[in-house]
Amino acid sequence: MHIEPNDGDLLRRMAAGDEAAFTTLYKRHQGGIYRFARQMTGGASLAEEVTQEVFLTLMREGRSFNASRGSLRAWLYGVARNCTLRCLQRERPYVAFETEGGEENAAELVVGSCVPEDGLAGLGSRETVEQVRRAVLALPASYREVVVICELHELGYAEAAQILGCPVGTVRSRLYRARELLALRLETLRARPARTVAAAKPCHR
Amino acid sequence: MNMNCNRFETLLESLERNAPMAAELRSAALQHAESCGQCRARLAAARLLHMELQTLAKEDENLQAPARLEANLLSAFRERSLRPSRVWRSVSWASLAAAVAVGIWLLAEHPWRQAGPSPLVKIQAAQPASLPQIATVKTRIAGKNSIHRRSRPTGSRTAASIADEFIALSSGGSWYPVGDGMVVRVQVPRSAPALVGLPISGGDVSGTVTADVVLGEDGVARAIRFVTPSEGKGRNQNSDFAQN
Repeated sequence: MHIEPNDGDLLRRMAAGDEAAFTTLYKRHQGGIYRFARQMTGGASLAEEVTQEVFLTLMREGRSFNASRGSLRAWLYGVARNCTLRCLQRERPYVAFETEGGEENAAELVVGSCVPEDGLAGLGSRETVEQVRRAVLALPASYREVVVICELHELGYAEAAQILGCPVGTVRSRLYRARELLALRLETLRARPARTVAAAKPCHR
Repeated sequence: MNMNCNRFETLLESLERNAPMAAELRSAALQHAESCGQCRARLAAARLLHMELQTLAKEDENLQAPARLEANLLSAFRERSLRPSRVWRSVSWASLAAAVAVGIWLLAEHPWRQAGPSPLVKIQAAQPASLPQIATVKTRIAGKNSIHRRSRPTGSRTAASIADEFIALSSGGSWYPVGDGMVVRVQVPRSAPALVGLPISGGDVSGTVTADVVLGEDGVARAIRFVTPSEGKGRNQNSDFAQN
């Protein structure tokens, strides 16, 4: 029976120069890190840049990882989160918000929800998926990251708290608020004709 | 079981995800939702949002970093493995810094600068005055921090009497704390022992001798000791200095 080596063993071997150990760690975690960065930034090139930086950091500072403070996955996500926020800050002057009154619409959001008639029927369509993606990207970064981690990556609150460096209660409250914003945002997007919605751009707030 | 809108709100997350909860509690919450239009709408909206997010997660689950990224990272890993480690690089730089620091100190303190062209005579004549007044040194060797406090009387001393000790390199009578310093091994001119009051073996000042130099956090040399070839193999010797 083949037993997969755990992250700690692989990290030790990697620190000793074992290329195969690094490759295994990369293959094990790159998907999640890349997805996280892509869902946070909305761009493939930024996601690639973030992923590269995360694994270069692992090479440089992997020795400093302390397993007693959390999983390697949480550590890598934490590095990815920091890199992503730096990238978003850097790109801030160059990325436009949604056109055609996107910001205005954000302010127009009406409190109260209702399920659209075709809500469930339309679920799974390409347009619906893109609407949800746009709505996530339009969230402020502090809410977006908690939605991406807890909802899209389905990590637990405790691990999310390690990644974000905040108490579990803060994760819960941010997620609650983020879901409210998301629901309202989706309502607005559903009400708008698809053609008026500009390409998805991340919110830099 | 009592159920109201506030209590229902706290259960909303578990209800939307069909998370495990007491059957009685679930039943009460769902009954409340049947009778309360606002809570029913909240639950429906929350379930819809959850499903939409799951759909997005499913859509993205096969996203992978481009293959070229793995190739780039592997080449970076190989390159990194071939380079000397950071520790060794910093030790090399520290050794260079120590050699430079000792060289500068020797030039600054060297009696040749003040006297004539007969260095050996001048050095020996200056021996008592050049003895340092302080011999409290903190060293860090092989990752261990230890503080060695040794008070030595100034004045006449022999090579044997300073066997295990570092000799402070004071600058203008001032003494600065070593802090989190380190010890590096360097080669210094064979005349260097005379500057701290030690005899030069055989009276020959050509060539170099091996010395351990205590560097402060600021890179300035704080103390020095001279070692023999046998100490380089792990044992201190007192009598003579290695000529290289």
